[in-house]
Amino acid sequence: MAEIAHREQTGLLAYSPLAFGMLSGKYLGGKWPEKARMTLYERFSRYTSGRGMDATRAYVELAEQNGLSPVQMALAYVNSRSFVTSNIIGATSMEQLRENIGSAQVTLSPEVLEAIESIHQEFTYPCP
Amino acid sequence: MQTRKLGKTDLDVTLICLGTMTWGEQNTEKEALEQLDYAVNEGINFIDAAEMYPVPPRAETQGLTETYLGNWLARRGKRDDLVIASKVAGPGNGLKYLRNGPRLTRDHILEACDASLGRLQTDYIDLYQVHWPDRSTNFFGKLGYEHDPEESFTPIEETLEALDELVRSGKVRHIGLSNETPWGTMEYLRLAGEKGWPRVASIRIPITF
Repeated sequence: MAEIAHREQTGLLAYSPLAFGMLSGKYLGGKWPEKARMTLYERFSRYTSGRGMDATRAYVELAEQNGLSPVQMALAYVNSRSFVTSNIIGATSMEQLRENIGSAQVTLSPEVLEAIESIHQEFTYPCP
Repeated sequence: MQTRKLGKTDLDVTLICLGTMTWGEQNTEKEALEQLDYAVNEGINFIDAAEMYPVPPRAETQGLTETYLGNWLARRGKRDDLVIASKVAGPGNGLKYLRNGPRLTRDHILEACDASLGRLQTDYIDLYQVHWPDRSTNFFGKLGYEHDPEESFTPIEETLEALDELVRSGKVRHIGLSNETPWGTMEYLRLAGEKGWPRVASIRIPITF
C-alpha cells in the first residue's frame, strides 16, 4: 500500500496510530484503567494479545530511555512516514488531545528511528 | 501545523487529523465541542467522521458523532476553512438498523450521503470515503485471504459510479477509501481512468505497529 500511496498519489490517512491507546503503555502490567476504551469494551481485543503487550513494552521502554512520551514517540513516527498524508488521532480527554496534537512538534532522532525499526524487526505485525 | 496535499487534489490537510469516533459514546457533546475548539485553535483543519460513528456502533447512538460535529459547524461558520471527511458504511453484522443492512449500492450511497449532509448541517463533504469494502476480503485485522468464487457483492463499478454522481452534484468534493486492499484500490483507480470517474484521493487504514 505504501507503493500505491506514492505512485498513485493516494496518501495514507493513518488510523489507530496508538492502537486504541495501547502504545501509551497504560495497559501494561495487567492494568485496565477506568474509563479506558479496552477496559470498557471487551470486544476490542485486536491489540491486547501477548505479542501486542510485548511489543508495546519494548516501544514504551525505548521512549522512556530517550526522555520521550511513548504516545508522542509513536505519533511522531507515523507523522514522519513519507507515505502518510495525515495522522488520525483520537482522544477522550483534553490532556490526551494536547499530547496527541503536540506530537506534530516532535522530531525523532536517527538513533530512535533505528531502534524503532529493530523492535519492528523483532515484533513484525504483532497485531494484524 | 504542517500540511500535506490530499492526493492529487488542491486541498491542504494538516498532518494531524482530528478523529471523532468516541463522540456520543465515551465523550459527550460538550466534550466533543471542546475538542473541536481546541484542535482548530491549534491549526488543525481536517476532521474525520462517519455515518456509523460513534464506536462501538449501536442503533441508539448512530449518527451522534456527525450531529455533534454539525452543531459545532453551524455555530462556528467559516465552513470553507475546514476539510470535513465522512464515510458510508459497508455491510456488517449488527448494522441492520442502518438502511436495513448497509451495502455499497447506488441507492445506499446516495441515501447515506444525504443523511450525513443533514446531520453535518452542510452542503458538501470534502472527502467522502467508503468505510470498508462490500466484498469479503482482508480488513479489520483478518489474516489469510480466503477466496469464495460464489460470493455475490456490489461491483466496485456501481459504487464508484454512485460516488461520481455525488461529486458531479456538488455534494462531495473528493472521494477516498478506507480499509481497502491493494487490489481494491487499484481497481478503483483503473475504473476511474477508464470511465472518467473520480480518482480516490486517499486510503485510510490502520498503521499501528
